[in-house]
Amino acid sequence: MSDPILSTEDLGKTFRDFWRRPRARAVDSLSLSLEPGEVYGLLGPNGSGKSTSIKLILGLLHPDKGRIRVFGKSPRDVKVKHRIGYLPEESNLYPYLDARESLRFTAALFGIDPEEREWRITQLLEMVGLSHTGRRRIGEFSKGMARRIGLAQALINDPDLVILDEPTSGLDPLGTRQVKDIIRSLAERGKTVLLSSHLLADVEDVCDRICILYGGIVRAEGPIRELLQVANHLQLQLEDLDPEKRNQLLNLLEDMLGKRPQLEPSRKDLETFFLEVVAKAREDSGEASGTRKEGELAEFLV
Amino acid sequence: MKRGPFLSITRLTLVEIPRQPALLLLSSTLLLLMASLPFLITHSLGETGKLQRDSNLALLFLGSLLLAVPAACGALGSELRKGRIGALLSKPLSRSSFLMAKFLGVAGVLLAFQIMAIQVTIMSDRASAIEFGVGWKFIVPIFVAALLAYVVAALLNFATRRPFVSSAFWLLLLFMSCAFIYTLFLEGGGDGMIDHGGHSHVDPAGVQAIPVRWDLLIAGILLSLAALMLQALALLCALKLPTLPALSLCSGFFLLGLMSDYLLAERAEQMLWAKVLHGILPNWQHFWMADALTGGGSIPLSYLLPATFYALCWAGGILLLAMAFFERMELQA
Repeated sequence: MSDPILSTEDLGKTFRDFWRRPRARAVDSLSLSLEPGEVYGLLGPNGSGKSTSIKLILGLLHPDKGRIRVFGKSPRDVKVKHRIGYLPEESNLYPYLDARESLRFTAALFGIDPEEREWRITQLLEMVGLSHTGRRRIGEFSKGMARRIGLAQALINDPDLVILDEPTSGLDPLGTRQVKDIIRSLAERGKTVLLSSHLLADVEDVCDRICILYGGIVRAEGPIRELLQVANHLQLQLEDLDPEKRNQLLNLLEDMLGKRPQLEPSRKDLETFFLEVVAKAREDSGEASGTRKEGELAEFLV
Repeated sequence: MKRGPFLSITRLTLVEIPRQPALLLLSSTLLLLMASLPFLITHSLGETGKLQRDSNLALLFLGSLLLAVPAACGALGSELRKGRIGALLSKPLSRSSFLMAKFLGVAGVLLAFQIMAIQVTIMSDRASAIEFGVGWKFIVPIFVAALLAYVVAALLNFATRRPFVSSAFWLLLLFMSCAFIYTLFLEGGGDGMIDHGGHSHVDPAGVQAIPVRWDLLIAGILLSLAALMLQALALLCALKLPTLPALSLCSGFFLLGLMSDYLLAERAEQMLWAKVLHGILPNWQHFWMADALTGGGSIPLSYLLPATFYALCWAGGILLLAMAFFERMELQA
């Protein structure tokens, strides 16, 4: 088994007041291990310690106890940060810069060549659907647009570990879907993604493993499929079943089981339905959605 | 050109700070006030030149303090509170490099203001060199430069959507430098003089040569060094305090530095605590050369060296303190 990309052992953090008295225990005995190419979800209600855990992992906060290793090194090691992409909970972008300037600045922090930088910026702006924003300042952007720029910033260095704190907050369903697709594509290309969210549907859609935090303590951890499995409960999916065959099947099952099972038509989830409606509306209004590579992963992210 | 993280942060600070409208307003107001002094100071019994010089140098120093604190708080303090610094430090950049880059960025913006202020000081000094009159041809270019900077910035904003405020700030530096160079070619104050009664007349002595007082440049450089010390202090304060408390604290240091000789010089010879305090407090008297310029006095160029050494040591000490503090700071993102 390969070395974990990120591991924490018995990590703890307590916030203290001016007199060093404990004020709030944000994280307690957190032990995680992220493998290459997996999407790991940190889940929990507000104040459960998700963002604090991320800040500890990034070396922005100092742990009271425990150990953190990122790529086998301390998270405060500057070299380690070359391989991390981070999207903070709040976009916190420079309001006076435009989208390109903002990305240029982030690229420069990673020392990316100007030629390579411009190529990546063009691709990322297309990927997050903001190639048309021109010289508009970020201060004039909606929250969703700022979030997209934040995501582009997190990916500009082609990171091996992507840490996303509430990546879909402020995004419309279309944007949310795109971000989820991007996360899945990143994982398919071998990137490790640590995702923090309190939006359960988002986590369920993209994560391989999750950890549920409450009061800074891990309450559940494991592969999402296993955690969501209901014991002794099976689901049967059938397509194009005519009424006669359906009755035959029900009678057969009733004979076998001793009680008549419930049969319900399959339902789409609201997100799928919404996206279908919007896609059709786009088609009808003649919007050339195909000309932009919106939602498609940038080429350099390999 | 490929830029490292250090230069990128410095550059961004240089781009970001001048985009604060308060900075443009404050620097424009100060420069125009300095330019207006030759015709605002009247009935000074032949002391116009000294009064104007003293006031302009005082405005340069005070203006640097007034600009340094909001600039430092904007560049560092508000970013800390907004959590932006946490996001930046998740990138490959050490905390000490980040702080130094911010310091250099703020210093760059202040330097731009100080260059303009020194130019205006020299120009208005020439304008007030004429007894009972004003050398308008030395002052009008200052106002024209300011007007041009605003108009061109507005046009650029209209045509290319370039941010108006920062364009105006940098254009002000460009046009003010052009105005300064233009006035260097003007020699006399005899033609085009208007006295305080508004009457136009010709200098009885004909076209009287009004030399450029390059001593003012050295006096300005010395005050800029003092401002650099205040800027380091402002950056340290910005790590924990919002703008107003930081300004109050820096102003307190500013006043203490003005009075440190008066308060502590004598005691320092007898008492250790006074000696230590006298050494720690900044002493602005080393940088205030306005009195030396009165009565045809001059400042030897060699004085710049020890003054620069003193300023750099003091600012360096404060920056080391800020770095040690920042290194241990817990950051939000």
